[in-house]
Amino acid sequence: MRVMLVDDDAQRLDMLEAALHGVGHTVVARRKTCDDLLAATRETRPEIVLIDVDSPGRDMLESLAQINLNDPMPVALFAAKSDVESIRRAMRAGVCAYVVDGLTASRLQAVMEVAIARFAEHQALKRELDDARSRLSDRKDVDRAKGLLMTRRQLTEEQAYEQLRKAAMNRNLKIGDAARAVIAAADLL
Amino acid sequence: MSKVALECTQLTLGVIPLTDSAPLVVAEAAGFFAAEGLDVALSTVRSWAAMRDKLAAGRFEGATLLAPMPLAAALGLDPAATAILTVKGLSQGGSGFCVTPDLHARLITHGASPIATPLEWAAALRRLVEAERGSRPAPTLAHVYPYSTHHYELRYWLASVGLHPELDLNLVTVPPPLMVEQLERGRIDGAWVGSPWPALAAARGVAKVLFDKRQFWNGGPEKVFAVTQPWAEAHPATLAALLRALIAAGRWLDDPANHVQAAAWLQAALMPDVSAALLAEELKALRFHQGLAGFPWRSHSHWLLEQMRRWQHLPPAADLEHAAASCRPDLYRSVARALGEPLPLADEKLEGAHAAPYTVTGESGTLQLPADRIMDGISFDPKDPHFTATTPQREPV
Repeated sequence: MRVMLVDDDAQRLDMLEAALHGVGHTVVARRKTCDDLLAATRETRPEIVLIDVDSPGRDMLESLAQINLNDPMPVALFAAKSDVESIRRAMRAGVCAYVVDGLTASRLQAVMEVAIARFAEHQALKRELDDARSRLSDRKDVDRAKGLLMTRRQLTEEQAYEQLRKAAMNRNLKIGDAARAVIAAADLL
Repeated sequence: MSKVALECTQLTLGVIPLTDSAPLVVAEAAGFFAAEGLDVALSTVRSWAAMRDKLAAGRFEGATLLAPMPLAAALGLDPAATAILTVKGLSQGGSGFCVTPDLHARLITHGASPIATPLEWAAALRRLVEAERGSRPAPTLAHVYPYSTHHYELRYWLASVGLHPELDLNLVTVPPPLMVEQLERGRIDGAWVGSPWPALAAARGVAKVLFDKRQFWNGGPEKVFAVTQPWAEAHPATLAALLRALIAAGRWLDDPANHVQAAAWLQAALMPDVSAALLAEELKALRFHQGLAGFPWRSHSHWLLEQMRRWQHLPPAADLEHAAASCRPDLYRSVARALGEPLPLADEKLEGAHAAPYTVTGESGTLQLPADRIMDGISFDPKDPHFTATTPQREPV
């Protein structure tokens, strides 16, 4: 199948392109969300356009679904041809598709499965990375805040940690945020 | 006021970077939602398609929509899987038409005065299209979404001088936040788009504003506040609380003394790259509550449906009454009435017929409404079954 991909995340595009290629599809165009998507669609004639659900470029593609003498290419949002469960999964993963009339439901379903799986996988990777980053910076900040409390208030490490933990609980903060508050206050003094 | 228990208090509402998202931004920032016991998070989207999908899928409890979107959903034209209801007008005014300095200069060459009326600009565009045919490509004009007031107004404006939107010009869709960049890169020659983007394009020197919505159709439909039908039915008290907060925000926004604060909130919430001074200036062109700007007029729905019919955008055997019923003045009425707000007696009015302020019959007493003349002087009577807008049915000029 001839597929056009629209996304500003190059890493996600690579993942998706490799996966599509692996099951025999051809990626005829890769575009950023602010590119001229109508021109790209006319030039490369994809059967399906896979696009980030939040891309502002979607509105340009929506116009292909309206009767227009200049663009006699009937295009529909995949939601018009899919079941509710696939629509929900696609939206959660952050991908949607525009399909050129004539694509059968089963072929559409197959390519959507690949796209949803790759978008979801990318989302999970990103979340892990974000978590790891915030855990790392939390640990560093907690250590720094503990150090400040130990020197300024003559506390042991356990006592400093306990104070920090209590402060976080009382103010309904995460311990990393409480640590950053201590550091910010210390910087002022 | 006696408070009925709210079915839910935590809500996510969809907004888009436009001046007429102001009622939602203000209701959140000034505490009008909180005063109703609502804990509202605003979520910004950058395309109307994403707004529609997130509302239909229940990710948003309510959203800013273009007035024709609930109609298109009811007609099955837009693939929203859920019925969408217009429960309030958010604003009037707040959009405009701008062209590149190059197209502006060519329009002047073809006889437009720099302070022409919308109809005079259209006449100059027709002379330009006729003169340039064969020597250069037809101008590319952008609107924001297939089912937008901007799209149908652009078509109306072109047809008023006999230009065919598709045969004589090249019409394209560009979402608001990309409009300035597309003008700058020369991809489009003109844009019919919501505030502040025409003013911002003008401030950056990439476009000149020909006219704004007030000159095209003062009091015409703009953005609406919409919810899905299943949500409205399951959450009547929460919907009423939302409407009260939005009415309060609209009244607050109509006071020019609040524009500087509102502009600062709009900038912080939606448009960090746009100056607050420009947004404060733009707010002057919008009406949020006075003149019944918040009332969801059924006659606006009928005018839009007539435009969809005119351009053959309706599906076969379209049920226009069913589509118009997506506009729910009854829901707005019950909330506004309890607040003592003035309300019209009818859900429809003669549209576009008044060059000066005029009066309509209200539920109690007479109400004064602002002038509502449409730029070509043709009025629209939603009760007239024989009304048909003329459409250029011919070869390109």
